[in-house]
Amino acid sequence: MQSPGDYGFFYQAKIMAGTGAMANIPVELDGFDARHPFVLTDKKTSDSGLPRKFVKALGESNTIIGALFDDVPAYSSVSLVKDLAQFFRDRGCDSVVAIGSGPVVDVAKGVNMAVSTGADVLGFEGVNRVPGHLKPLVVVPTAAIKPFDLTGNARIDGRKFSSAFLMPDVIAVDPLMVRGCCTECVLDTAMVSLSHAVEAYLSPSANPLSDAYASMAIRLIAEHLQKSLKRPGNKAASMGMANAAVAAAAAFDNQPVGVVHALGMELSLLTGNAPGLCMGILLPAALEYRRQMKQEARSELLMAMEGFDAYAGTPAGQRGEKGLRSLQLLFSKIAVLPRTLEELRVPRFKADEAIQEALKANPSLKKQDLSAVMGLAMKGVQ
Amino acid sequence: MMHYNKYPEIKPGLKLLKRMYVVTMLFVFGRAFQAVSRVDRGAKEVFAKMPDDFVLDFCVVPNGPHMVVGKDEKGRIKYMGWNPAGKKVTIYMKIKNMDAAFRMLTFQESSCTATSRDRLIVDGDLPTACGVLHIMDLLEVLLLPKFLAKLGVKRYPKWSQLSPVRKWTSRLLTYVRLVA
Repeated sequence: MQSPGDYGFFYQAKIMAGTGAMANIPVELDGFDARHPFVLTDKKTSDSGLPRKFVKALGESNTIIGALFDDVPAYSSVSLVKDLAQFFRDRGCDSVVAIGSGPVVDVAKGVNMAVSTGADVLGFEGVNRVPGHLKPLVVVPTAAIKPFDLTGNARIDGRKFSSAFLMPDVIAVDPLMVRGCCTECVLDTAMVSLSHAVEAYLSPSANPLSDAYASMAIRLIAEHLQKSLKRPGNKAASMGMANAAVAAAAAFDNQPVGVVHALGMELSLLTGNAPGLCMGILLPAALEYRRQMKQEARSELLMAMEGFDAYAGTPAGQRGEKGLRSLQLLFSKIAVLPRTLEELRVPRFKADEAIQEALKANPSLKKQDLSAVMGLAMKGVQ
Repeated sequence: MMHYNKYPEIKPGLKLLKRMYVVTMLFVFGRAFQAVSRVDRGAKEVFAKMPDDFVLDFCVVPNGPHMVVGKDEKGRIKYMGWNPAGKKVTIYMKIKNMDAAFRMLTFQESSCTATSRDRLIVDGDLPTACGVLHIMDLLEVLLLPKFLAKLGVKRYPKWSQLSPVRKWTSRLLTYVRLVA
């Protein structure tokens, strides 16, 4: 093994996974001297009965839920954050719990910024603008959880907030909550997790700890994706996918944003397609671009994809290439995933707009790389 | 304007059946701790190594139930009831929630597995806590039929570790003291 070199790694969340994970939330909140959480979720999650399971899991505890707000809309807005912050104060709450993904978690982070600092959330837009520790934030992922929900980033009203203080303090991955509702939802989550994990793994600044999380995420997805797509309600497969999302979040949060994430998020915002679908098309294109640019693939990718036996049985010089092939094979087996952005009906001008937006949001990326990957994704990788 | 009344405060309910079962089991275990300390050679050795002021509060957080077991002035192990108030507890073993306690005491999970799955908090001397878990395993072996005890303990003892004579003698005497 090579010397790890110099690196930093930070992921503050306590992760509780498995049967009864939610029932531990009161004890964890108690550790922060909090017993009066403000719970946020959306209508879809509420209709599926998950918040009821959450409340039931908290039985026999001293926790009193200040309010269970189940009307978080699909688009998170600053005005909603302000209203909810006032609601939080009026009820005398002391912590925030988000049940769900996407806007629910973004709004929870926004409310937490507002109530912890007493200031307008707009003042925290940008990178590292949050002045200090916030109130405890617990995230209870559902099947639709994405790794970026579990990082120190939030997007409210199209504005980006990024700070280590925005990271959840506790993540409770409970099998009651993460069972998939549909194939599309599973695919969306899986592709985002896989893209984040692979990008973190192949990043030039990868370090041993981000590698560990990324390879765990890749391994879990390789093992559980097919079963999860076939039977979204399967407990073991759902837990595998949810754990992969958490691991990918830890890896992703410690590496610079990659081409696939940057383009995928912008395309999703501009076209309304699920980010997972966009990233699922962009990732094979990005891997093909790497191959064309003769950038060597990490040999450990094979270990993550196929396990130790396959890694040990492959000559050292061929491992990187075989790892990439294995990843491409995984994509080829996903029948429900469109192969090109044209299949998703993404017009060329939207693709160009996505490149511009991605460059604006991530100036460290190169336009040439973004355009090449987008070009390959439009037509598909043979 | 947000309609606050639409989102009332929620006080999560009780889990009465689980609580009743856990209360019963902790009562039985408490009495059995006292009984086994008098009749089983192995248990006596473990308890002898524990400090003289040993008082254990084995409980479910935050609202109980509790099982308080400790040494009296004569150094004998005694079940001190369900209320830790006024007792000088030297070691707390807290199960994090009622579901975890129920799972553990219905032998769906062994005490070792529960510990490894982060369901227990130990506040006190670690070797003493290990001794307590050892006694709990022994109690499960003595009180339960083998097919149930195997679920609750890490390794069911072989004949060489617990001879049938010792097992059946301790089992009988523990049961007698338990109900007497």
